[in-house]
Amino acid sequence: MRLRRMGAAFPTRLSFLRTLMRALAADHVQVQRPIWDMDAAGFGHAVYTLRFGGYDYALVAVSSELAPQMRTDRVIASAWDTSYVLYDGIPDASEISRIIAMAPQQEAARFTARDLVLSRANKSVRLFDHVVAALRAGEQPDPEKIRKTGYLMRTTAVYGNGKFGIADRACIADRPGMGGPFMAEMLTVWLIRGFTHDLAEHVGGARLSRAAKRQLGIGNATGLGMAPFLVNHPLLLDAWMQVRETALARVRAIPSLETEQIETIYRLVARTAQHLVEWNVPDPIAALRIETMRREWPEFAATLTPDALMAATPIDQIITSSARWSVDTQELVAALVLEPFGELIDGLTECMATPFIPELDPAMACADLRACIDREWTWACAIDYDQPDDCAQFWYVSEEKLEPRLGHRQTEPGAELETPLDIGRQVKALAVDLALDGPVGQFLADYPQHRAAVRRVQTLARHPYAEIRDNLIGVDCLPIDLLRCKLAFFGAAKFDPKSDRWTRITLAQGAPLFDELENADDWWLPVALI
Amino acid sequence: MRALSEIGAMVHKAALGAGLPLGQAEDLGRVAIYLAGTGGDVDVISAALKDHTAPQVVWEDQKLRVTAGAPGLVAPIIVDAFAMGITRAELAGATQAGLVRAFLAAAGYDVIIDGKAVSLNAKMPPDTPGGPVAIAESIWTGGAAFAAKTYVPASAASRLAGAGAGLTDND
Repeated sequence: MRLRRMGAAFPTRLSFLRTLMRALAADHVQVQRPIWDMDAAGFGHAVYTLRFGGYDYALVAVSSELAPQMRTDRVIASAWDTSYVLYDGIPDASEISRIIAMAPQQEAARFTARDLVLSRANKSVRLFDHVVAALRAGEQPDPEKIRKTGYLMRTTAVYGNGKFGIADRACIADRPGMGGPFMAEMLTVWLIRGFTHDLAEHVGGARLSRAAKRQLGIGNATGLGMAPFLVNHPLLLDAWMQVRETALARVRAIPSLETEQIETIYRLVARTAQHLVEWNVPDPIAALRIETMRREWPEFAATLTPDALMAATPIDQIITSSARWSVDTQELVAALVLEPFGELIDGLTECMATPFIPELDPAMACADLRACIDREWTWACAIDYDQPDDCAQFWYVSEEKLEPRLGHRQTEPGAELETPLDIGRQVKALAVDLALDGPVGQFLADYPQHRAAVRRVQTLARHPYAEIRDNLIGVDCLPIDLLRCKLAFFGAAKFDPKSDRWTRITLAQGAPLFDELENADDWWLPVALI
Repeated sequence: MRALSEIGAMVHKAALGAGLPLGQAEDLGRVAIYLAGTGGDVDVISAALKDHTAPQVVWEDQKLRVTAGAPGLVAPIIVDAFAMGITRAELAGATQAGLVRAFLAAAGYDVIIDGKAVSLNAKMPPDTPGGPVAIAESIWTGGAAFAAKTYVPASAASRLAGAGAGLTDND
């Protein structure tokens, strides 16, 4: 599992937002809006409620006036256009008042175990203002402007699992529908997306067309804060990838396709081509990669002849043949071939969460640990981490805002305080010191500094997708690859990188609206309907 | 009130700031969650952050003898030893006992500690921690002070290039 391929990831029907939509639909969830207390300019608060899996939840949304100079997607921000809490239950007036007071403060406030998710979002000012102006003029907004941006607001953080006093994930992990990874967070962003539609309609004084709302997802701006997650949660990463690879293995094993499945593939291939046309970004590297996919996709499509799709094990043939294309197109093909086969693979999503954490086996013989290193870590041990290019970068946490950042070792101060994401270097250091005999436990009593590395090596021996097999401090490490992998698992599309360590994305574009959950599942790589 | 994951993350960072190795910091974070969520004494974690003495142990037949070492470094070794089938340990001092008991309990080992002598009583599934919990503010601020030792002061480069994005987004 290499960074470059992770950085080419696409959303699939296994992505968390897709899983959530199916679960909401299966449970016939109804979203209500019992409170809408907004002034004419759209400042105030609203409460949305739903019952899901036998539990009540509520989104409390707070909209505040924000000076333009305060509007930043960075975690260094201290004020936002809107802020949100996903609440456990139906909040009474005092709880709503508490959240209205606390949510706009975000990290500066403290929350309670009734608060499940904390988030905030800023307006995409140009599009929000345009939509409001159009509605006030009695018109629908310009479809081209909607297609270009794709969302009215961008979330800049979606906090769960105990941050700032909110509930631990364990509090809801056993509830129906909430057991999968990031389900509460995905529910929150889907509800926020609906709120952005309502707010624009409120300020504009008219209704948006259903097609326009379906096209308007919820944006997100993601920086380095997300990058260490995959490194620090190896079993979760393994679970996600195991499910993906198992799903691919299942569809590759399909002996033959039915006519309806072939028609679905043709329809999705055409949709993908249109999606690529509509995916335009200013970043020159990303734009070039999209252009390559646009060029390769028709060539790929031409290989999907009726004879090819009616042959034996056609999906296996498609995947095997895809090796001729760029990594990006290969990953797009992999996402495509999963889409028509929900009955075969959707159940696997129940395996994407794991309650387990990496455990150390002190009874393992050092010789066996050495064999693990020789088998799985040659990529790490072959690197000379004293070479400037191979240790060019260091991860750290900024004192200013406690956010992860990435520095250049040769030119910036602070490397002595680096965050230990240098997994490859740690394992190579272990390999140098590792004894030839005795159990690992005795070795670690003499070399306690290698405890983490031993645990990583033993974990990878049992969980083949637990480790990113690249040098995370090397000059070629691009954090954007980590971000994209995780965001694709969320269900993000329209990746719009702003640098090699910061990207905008769109979530829930094409997803069902609150009253469309009966049509919850056919929105992979959505294309504009307006 | 503090969420358990919040406590675990803080102790993990504090241990790194205190100079403990990554693996021991990971373990301390987990044990802090166990202690906090089962009504244990989280203060033993705070004490462990202040001592870095290198561990010295002697492996004997069915017994591990500790002759020196900081609790945060010794406790994981004793857990390892019990996982390898050893049933008795001798601590270098009684001050190690609190954290050693916590580590062993979190791993499912019920032990009897008499002075410096540790002996296995029973192996059983550890209690499941539950939160949120209240912990003394002094413990939290003490941990935060150690965690802060890992933070890099801001510079112009870190504000912009380090995060890789602009400072305003009015588009």
